[in-house]
Amino acid sequence: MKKVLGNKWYIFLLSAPALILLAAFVAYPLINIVIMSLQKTNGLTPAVFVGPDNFLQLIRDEAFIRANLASLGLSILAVLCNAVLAVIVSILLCTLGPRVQKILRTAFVIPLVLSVSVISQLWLTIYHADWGLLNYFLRTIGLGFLQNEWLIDPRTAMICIAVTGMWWAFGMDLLMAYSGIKAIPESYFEAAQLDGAGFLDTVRYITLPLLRNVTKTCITISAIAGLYTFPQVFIMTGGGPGDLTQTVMMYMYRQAFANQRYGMASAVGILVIIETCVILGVIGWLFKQGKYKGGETI
Amino acid sequence: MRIRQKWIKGILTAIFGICAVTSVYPLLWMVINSFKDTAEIMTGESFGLPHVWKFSNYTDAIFNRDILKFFVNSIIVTGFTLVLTVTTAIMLSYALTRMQWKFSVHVSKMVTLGILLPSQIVIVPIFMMLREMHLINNPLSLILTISAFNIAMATLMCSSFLSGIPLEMEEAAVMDGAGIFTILFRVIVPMIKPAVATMCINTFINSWNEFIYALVLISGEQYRTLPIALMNYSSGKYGTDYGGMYAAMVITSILPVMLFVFFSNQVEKSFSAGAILK
Repeated sequence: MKKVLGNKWYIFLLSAPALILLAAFVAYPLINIVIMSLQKTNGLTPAVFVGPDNFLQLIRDEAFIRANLASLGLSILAVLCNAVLAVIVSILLCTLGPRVQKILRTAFVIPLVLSVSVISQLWLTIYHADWGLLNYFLRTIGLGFLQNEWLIDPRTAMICIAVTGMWWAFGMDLLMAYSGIKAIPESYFEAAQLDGAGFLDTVRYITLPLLRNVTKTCITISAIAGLYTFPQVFIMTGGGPGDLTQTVMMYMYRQAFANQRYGMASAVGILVIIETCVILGVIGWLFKQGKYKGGETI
Repeated sequence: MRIRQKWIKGILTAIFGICAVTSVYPLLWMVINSFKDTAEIMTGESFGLPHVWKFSNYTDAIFNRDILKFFVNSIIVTGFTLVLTVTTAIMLSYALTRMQWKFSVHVSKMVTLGILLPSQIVIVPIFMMLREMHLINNPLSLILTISAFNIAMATLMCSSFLSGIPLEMEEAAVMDGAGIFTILFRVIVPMIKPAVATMCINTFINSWNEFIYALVLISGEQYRTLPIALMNYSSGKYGTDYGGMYAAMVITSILPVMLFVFFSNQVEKSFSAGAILK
């Protein structure tokens, strides 16, 4: 047995294909993006080393700052409306009958299996000013005065983009939170009930503390997904009206594939990676804080 | 966990019911609209069934709009990605969890790190690299890229399942003189079928729905996959054939939805598998 499991040649044979792919398409591009961010290149003429020029230009570019704020906003909205809401909904969902649970879960998860391209096209027509579902619905229930050109109006365009993403990804957080709750042994709840704990106490002292890691994962995934919003913007508004709904990813895409400023786009990538790390750090720090506080009260 | 008051339960069910309808109705609307004439869609009378069922939206999409070609492209990309990802991930996770080598811990840590990084961040260097290799507008580039970004997750799913499998069967196989590939694909794979199913579903959904890399790496019409081909409708290439657009959207969605209908438990598992990360 040892002979087979310790065989260097076998180990190499088994791990090489995957590791080569990972090295070529994850590790190498990650190194390359750092190098490219310090260069000026349009892909045709040879690249010129320009040092931190790209970064300096970026932080002075108002459009980039706005795109960043838009992405951060989407990220925060995704955390609140997807992750946090999903945890609440799944806790409440677990109090209902098993068949109702199954039906509701199915309803929330179906959008998740569809392509984001389909979702965006669909919502593009739902928001359509003349014959979209949303305006028609508002007219039907007598709220016709709320009708709007949803994606053209600067006040609503960004919210519309956010809603589309939430509607699509809500099921993901719900499933994670739901399976997290189902993994808690039923006996804990029974014991709490015997001790006379009400529903809210049970949630406060049993469900939430045991759901800490799952909640953290949900928040992390939603925050990152919100920050990297791209297809919805690309399909639904193209960044407009003006560049109001332009997210960082949209900005990066434009720099690279519309303006052929690949060096600049790489610099955007680097800044977004840093941003991602900061967000991950903040989430980790927040959860650590909560842990000590939680420890004191119990 | 129970709530005893009946009326709270009633209210909860009602609220969730409304939310569930909001979640599903747009999809139903899409399917219904795919049978409507474009003129009827544009009247804005959005509720209800079509006055005239227009099946020609579908035949039109298939015969005049090349949807069949894009469908085949999608199948090819997804099929090869699926095979490549799942085989390499099974092999890697076996090497990582079972075999004894110096760097296995480091490698598995690096693989885990790869999951947190959203793939689109490195799109520029990947695009440049593939352009230098003259692989732009070649399905192979898409297959390799999507596979690379799905291997990490698949490996993790497989590893966590593999570590719960006892060694005895492999020992018996070694006694019989089986080689490593016989052990892996004849002995191990049948035992980890549930993990393989989850990996397959996850990879299938990701590669079938891949948007940004398909957008950037495939520049011509010829090799386009369905999610990108759909944009022909919104970019105005086909004018305002909204009925046809909905039909194309339904065709794009049909495989993932069928997968969900028939294997809903495994699909749910594959989505919540993300929670095992931390």
